[in-house]
Amino acid sequence: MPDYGKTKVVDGFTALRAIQQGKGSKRNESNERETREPETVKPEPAARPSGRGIGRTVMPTKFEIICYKCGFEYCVTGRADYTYCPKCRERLERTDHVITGALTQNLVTVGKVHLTETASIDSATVVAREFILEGTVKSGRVEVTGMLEIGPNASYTEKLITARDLRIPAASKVTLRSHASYRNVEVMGRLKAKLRATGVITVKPGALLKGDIRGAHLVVEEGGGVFADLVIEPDKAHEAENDKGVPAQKTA
Amino acid sequence: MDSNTGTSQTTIAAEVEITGTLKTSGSIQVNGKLNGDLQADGDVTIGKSATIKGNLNVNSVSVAGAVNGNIAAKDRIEMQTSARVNGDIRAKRLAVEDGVSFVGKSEVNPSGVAASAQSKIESKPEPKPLSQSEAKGEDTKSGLFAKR
Repeated sequence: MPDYGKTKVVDGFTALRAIQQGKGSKRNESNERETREPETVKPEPAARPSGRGIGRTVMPTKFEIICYKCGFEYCVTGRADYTYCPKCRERLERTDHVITGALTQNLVTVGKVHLTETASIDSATVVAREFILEGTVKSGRVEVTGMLEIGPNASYTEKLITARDLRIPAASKVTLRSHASYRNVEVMGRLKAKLRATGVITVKPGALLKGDIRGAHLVVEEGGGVFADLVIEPDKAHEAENDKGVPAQKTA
Repeated sequence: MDSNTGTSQTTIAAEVEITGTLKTSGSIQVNGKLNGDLQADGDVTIGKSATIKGNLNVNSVSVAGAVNGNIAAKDRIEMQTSARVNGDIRAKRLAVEDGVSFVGKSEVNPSGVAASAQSKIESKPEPKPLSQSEAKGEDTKSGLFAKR
């Protein structure tokens, strides 16, 4: 019996066979069409007004994390109890702490630490992303990779605390006796210091900034007071950026 | 000059260069170059293209250009982003935008004494040492009772 799998020669017989095969497939399609349910034409969805939905998206909060082991800086979004440093794979705790008593053990976190008025740090090392100082730092060391906030009743020795940014709340009156260097400084109360800032110095309404100030950017809002020797040079900000990420090292 | 309100506003164009002291009892806007002092009883506006080499003694000033000299304002000093100030400033109120270049001394304390030509930096007087009687906690009421 000849093999009809592949047609190698086109002759009358193969042509007739092809026609019959085509007729047969068309017949099958028409039968299927009759049995199929009639298609309904779905109306096109109404055109969405442009811009709708934008603005309702809520972006999760971003946190700037500095690994306390290798110093690598990166951002994380959202809340989690811990994170892993992408560089050294160190597990970094992100828990926030509120200290109400005497702290004698080391505390290391990339979260926030709040030292209340009745609390104290005695012979302990505290590493945190944000530190609210309202109590007493008797001895030990406090390293803040982000913002340091000094409350009105805080008691501390300047050389024990290093921080990247500084915030003086409205009720605080702070005098820094040694030369201080920060990235950003935000003054809402009173600050008297010999200060160097690589970022922005912001003086809010009702605040007063005194001393010897050297920085890249200064913003004074209406109602803020400045009684100081100032050297504000935004053009030299690129030189100051070399100090980025280096916490202030205060000398006694 | 604004005929409706009666206030006068002088404008120094950007192409103008003045050498000498400029005095006005009204308001003035400087867009050109001034080599000298400026005294105005009204409001002064230093434009972006303005360059002033001298001292300013004004009621209030808004600086967007370059000033090489001291600024004394009775009311307000405003420094805009493009301002370049090289000198001391003294005023009752101050507003500084980001990007300002400023080298000098600032004496602005909104909650303190108003700025004047002879104002000095205020400092709290040192507490007087307690007398012996005060230290002992004795009654130190003056007047008739003390003499008894």
